[in-house]
Amino acid sequence: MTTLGIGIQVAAMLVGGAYVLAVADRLIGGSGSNVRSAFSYPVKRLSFLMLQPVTTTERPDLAAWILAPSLLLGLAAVGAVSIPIGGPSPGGDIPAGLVLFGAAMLIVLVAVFIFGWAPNSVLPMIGGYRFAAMVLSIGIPFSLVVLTTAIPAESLSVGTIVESQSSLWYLLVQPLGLPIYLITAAAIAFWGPFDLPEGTDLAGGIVAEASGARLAMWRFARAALMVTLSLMGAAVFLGGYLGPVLPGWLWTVIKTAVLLILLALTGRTMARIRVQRFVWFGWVVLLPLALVDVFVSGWVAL
Amino acid sequence: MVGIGAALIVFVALLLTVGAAQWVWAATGENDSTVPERVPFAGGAEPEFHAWNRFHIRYYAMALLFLAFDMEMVFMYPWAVVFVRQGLLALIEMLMFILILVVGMVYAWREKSFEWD
Amino acid sequence: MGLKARLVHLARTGEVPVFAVVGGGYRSAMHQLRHADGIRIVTSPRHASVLLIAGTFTEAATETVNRVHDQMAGPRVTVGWGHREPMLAPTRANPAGDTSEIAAVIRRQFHDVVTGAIQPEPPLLPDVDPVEWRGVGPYGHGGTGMTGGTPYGRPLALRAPDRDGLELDQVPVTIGPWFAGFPPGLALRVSLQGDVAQAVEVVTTSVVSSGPPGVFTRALHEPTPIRDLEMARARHHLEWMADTLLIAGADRLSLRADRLAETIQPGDVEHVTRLTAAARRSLLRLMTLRGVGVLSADIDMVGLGPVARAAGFSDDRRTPEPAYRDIGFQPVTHDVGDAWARFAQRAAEAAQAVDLAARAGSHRAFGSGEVEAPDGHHQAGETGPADRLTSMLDAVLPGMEWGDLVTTVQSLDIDMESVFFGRPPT
Repeated sequence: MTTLGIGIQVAAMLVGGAYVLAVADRLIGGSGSNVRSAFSYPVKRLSFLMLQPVTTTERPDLAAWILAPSLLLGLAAVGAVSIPIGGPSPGGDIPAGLVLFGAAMLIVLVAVFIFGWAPNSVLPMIGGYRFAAMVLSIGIPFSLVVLTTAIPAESLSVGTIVESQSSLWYLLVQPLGLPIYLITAAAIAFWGPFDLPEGTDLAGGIVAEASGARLAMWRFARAALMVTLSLMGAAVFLGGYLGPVLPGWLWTVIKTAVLLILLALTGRTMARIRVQRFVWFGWVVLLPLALVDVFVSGWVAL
Repeated sequence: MVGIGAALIVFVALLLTVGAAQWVWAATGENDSTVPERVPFAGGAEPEFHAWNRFHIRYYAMALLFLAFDMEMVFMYPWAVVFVRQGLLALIEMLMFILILVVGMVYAWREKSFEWD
Repeated sequence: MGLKARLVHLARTGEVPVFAVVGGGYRSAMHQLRHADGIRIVTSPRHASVLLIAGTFTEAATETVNRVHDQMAGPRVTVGWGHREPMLAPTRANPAGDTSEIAAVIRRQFHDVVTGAIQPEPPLLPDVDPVEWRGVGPYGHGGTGMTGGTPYGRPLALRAPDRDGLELDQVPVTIGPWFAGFPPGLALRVSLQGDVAQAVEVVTTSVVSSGPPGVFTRALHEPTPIRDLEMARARHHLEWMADTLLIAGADRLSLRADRLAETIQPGDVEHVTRLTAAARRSLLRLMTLRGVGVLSADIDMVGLGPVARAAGFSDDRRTPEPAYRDIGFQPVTHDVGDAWARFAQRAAEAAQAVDLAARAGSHRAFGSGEVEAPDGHHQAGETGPADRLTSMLDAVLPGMEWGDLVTTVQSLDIDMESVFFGRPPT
């Protein structure tokens, strides 16, 4: 497949997934609970934001403010490129896709941090710093549970990991994997209940000074990040494109949508965690559990 | 064969186009905002100082711990691939390595490095 | 149709982002507006198109409201809701009706300003630099010393010792009075070192004016049916729980608490206990409130109502009241005295209140110039608990991480309407 083809495929997944996420979030969190209006909600919201002027602050770091949404979207796209969507590509996929994905997801920290730093305003800045504490706490368990799926597959290529699940999904072989993955993925995408950098206690935090097209761009990039994380979750734990009857790409879409809806559900129903409690949770609870996951799965794979 | 090049091209292309679009948007938009419109939001009050400062990162000990574990992650990527071929030996070796790091984590926990108020 | 016309066509019927400035008498009404169709209350004016000024204020609020007005991204419209003299900003409409009426007015104004039927409002404050430019170089950094110069008239952070004795940057910031994490009207000047508050000072300017007198004010002067008092108490506590859940990001539960506050009837104990159980399941206790904002035992908490009772003091003005004794009233208490204890305390008191209301019959209570309001003990002609709670903040809050600070302030239920007037909440 050509680079252009991959680009179109990834763009379709990210835009479609972002729409699914926005509608699901609206249906769960919105108070109107009008199902029909939920489907038009993302389009209307986007239209308004495109009309709204982009405000600025007194002395912002404008370059960083422009770079941050682009970087976040770029990272989401890079992560998505490493995942086969429709089926095994003829020549195999990116040789160490898992490494590429892991690296891209941790650099999200930089995008969020500079987005909070750029407006030169106190509340967004605290949001950015909070996110640093969060990612440093769950970066290791996040990488570990993804890496654990590479052990039985004996490869860092996501395509090979998907293929190795033809008899049994890793959801069942490594039962600790998906729960830890979803918790840490929600934190990396600063999605509720881990939306600390955007919390109400910071009046919106990193987005408190963003308006109009800038806010729209940032919201879309974040939704794209959620889609990429769900795509990877579907690929390494739910067998990706493998499945009977339906074409492979449809299985990927269904599994990704299921994970997205699951994340949307927890996002609006759980109470936001304190940042210090989260740091403790990442190191003292998630890290040991992820290590148990690695060694038990390794023992089983032998 | 999809190389890492495809990822790089997608990344750079997105960075440039989205960045340029935002820059054009900002440049062609209404740039006539007044001073009060640019005041950073603080619930209605006016800021006395610039927000940028040498931020006191009270979780620095935890950040160092992250560095130690992140180095370990670097070793684990190749380890995971050869694990099944190497067998029990690889498992025990990595277990020993990790246990040493976990001692560090427990020490940091005991020293209250995961809380800062 | 051009691109812009198409966007306008789609946006005009969309959800309206509203930034609300809430004054006296409209706290409860805001809870209903939050869930009105087509309205979204946002936390930052940068996301808003409509500024809603609800209720009554003092002159002192004008400057802060104007600043928030100018910070709105626009296209700007200002709408009042029962907004009375002194008027803080020119408003396009100012109905005094119920939630559905104001929601319709807001949607109409938004529609008109997006389609261009009415002109968006220009900024209100004069376009002048706050302080003249000082310093040399593009960022004013070429002044004297390493961080000299004051670009945009604002200096860089001060240096001050932290609690470990290190000299570190410290930024004093005033947050409020229209900050979503604090009760409307409260402004705090916090000296931040990183995300930790080193010192806190309450900015005591009265901006929220007292709303129309409510049932607890009436009970100061004349015996009032216990049924009315206890239902008002239950509603107050449920609305407070909705606020806490909203700040904690549990939107669905917050909505449920608000709906319950609207519809609750005497005897609905089960509804309240189920809500509390759901809050516990959302990990509100475990992950957010437990261990935060513990009030030390040396603070004089007598008369602080649920705050005192959550810390184990069995102090309640209802206890000696004969009518309450007749229906078997016993104060509930919790220990620990942290933010979760205060949540559980108010939840338990709300449940107890609906139970008492069901059993009250025609009993009347108070009228002796003293009353136990939802936020504590009020006496005719005296400042209420809110005044004492605010003066406590500078001792309680320093050393807290910002999120914990907001949680603690919220957990104290400070009612700015009653701080400066010595009146119980309405």
